[in-house]
Amino acid sequence: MRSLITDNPVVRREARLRFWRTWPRYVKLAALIGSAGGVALLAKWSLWFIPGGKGNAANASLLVMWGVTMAVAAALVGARSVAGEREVRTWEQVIITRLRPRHIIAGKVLGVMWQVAVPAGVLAPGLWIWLLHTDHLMAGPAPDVLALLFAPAGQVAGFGSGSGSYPGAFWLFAASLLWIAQGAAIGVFASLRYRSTVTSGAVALLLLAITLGLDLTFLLYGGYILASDVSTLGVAQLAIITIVGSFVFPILPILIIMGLAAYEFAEFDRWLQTSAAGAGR
Amino acid sequence: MAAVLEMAGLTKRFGDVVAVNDLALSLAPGDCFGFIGPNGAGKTTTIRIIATLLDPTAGTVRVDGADVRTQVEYVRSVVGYMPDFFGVYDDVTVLEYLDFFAAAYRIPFARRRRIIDDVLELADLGGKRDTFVDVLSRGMKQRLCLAKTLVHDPKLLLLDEPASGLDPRARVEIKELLRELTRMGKTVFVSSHILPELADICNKIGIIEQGRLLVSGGVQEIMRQVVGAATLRIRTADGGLAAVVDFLQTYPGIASAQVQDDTVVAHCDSSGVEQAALLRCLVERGFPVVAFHETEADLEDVFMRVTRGIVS
Repeated sequence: MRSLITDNPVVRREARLRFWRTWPRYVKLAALIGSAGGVALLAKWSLWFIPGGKGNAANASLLVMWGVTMAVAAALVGARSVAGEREVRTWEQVIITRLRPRHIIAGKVLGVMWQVAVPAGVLAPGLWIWLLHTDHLMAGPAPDVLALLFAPAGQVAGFGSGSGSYPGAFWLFAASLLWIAQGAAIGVFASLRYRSTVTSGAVALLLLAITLGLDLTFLLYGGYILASDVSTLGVAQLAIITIVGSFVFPILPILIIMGLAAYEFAEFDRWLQTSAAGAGR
Repeated sequence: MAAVLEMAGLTKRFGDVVAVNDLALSLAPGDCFGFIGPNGAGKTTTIRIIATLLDPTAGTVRVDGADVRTQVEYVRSVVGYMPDFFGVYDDVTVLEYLDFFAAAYRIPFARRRRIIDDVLELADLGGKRDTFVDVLSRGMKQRLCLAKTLVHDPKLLLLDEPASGLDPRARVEIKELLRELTRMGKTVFVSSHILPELADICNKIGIIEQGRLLVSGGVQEIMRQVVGAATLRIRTADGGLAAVVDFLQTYPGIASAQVQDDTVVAHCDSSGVEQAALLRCLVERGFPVVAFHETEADLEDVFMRVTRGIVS
């Protein structure tokens, strides 16, 4: 475990990425202002978007956007993680070392989580301020459904558990890690399989949509939860249901088991160590 | 002395294409082997198989006694591989770049710094340790990649076209570095198209075409084996070269003679004494000889004679 996380050079390298280093100063400033402005605009937009929605109604939408943004960002960054290395021809040099594929995969997933979690952590207080003035989670038909996916984030952050609850930016951020992890894992998986960042990005988004769709289907049609229940269930119940719903949905464990079996039987470990998975001409 | 690299019956097929066909080779510690062949001959495929990046279809490859197919971990610990085309992480410093690979080769943290200092000095990049990789020149990146290949002190170095695309100065620097590595006792397996440079640093060569190893062995031995006849270049003061060619074609021991530019080029299997007799004969017959010398065959001659320019 130690070699997978703390002593994993891939994790350290991913955490040390400085892609902004070569940006001119004004671009860095513009990126900073743009990010802050973007969040503010999104939040504002959510207020306008929901029919009749102001005040409480905005929050579910914000939460959904927050969760979807985290998951999509993680999936896209993950989709670039290995395919990007293949494109610049550094991948072959990594797989030839003594790092086992599981080290590289773990390093990439954790690295992607780090890259998405840092800006998420920075932006979480901003979202928290928007959420601060309400104690209702659900509103509007589309957010009703989608917000189910992100209900634990909202619940952990303090919504929907009755008046007098106090959402915390830290908990909102902590809950977001769930969605970042899911997006990162899907993105890295697509990236391992496809050599082009564009293809792996598209596949990652598709897989993410399927996964989220499965989660929703499970939650709504599996009878585990009703959309109207969200605001009345407690934090622990909702978190457990959604986490279980996300990861122990009957189809998902089967897919995971099939994947692990295929990993062993198809000698995926060896495949990853070869030029077939690398930048071979 | 136990072989560092041993291949027998090595074959690699990609569908119907036979990229490598029944290769056999043995290299001892300290050998510098030049792997020569036209584009598409199977050089890179062979190197990738030795590096455990490809599995062979048939045959065996052993590195330091370990099978490349079943003892991948060990082989990777004793092989340093530098691909023909490679990228470097641009957003890190030279020191961070080498530290990443040292950690990836499981070198303990306490030893990493000293090893990195050593390889930087060897690659003549000591003054660049805190420089970002993306501002290095191509030659420096090539040396950095070679330094990265050395961090785990491999016994066998696999270098695929290490000097390709470099300017003359950078090529000389790489050549010096390779010479230093062979002096250190490393076994070097290097492919290159720049044949004169291989002749300078390699003690063994192999020529591959269409996946088949046409010749392999000591450089001088192959020169003798392939080129055989000596090449004589003769020039006369009056330019009557056609008459010289006519005479040479009747002279015993001359395999062929022809005019090239303002010189007669003749191939003969005669010794130095017989060449002296030929020169005397030419002068006695009244040919105004102003130049008469034997040109040494080089790897390019060998390469051109052995290969036919066919690819798989």
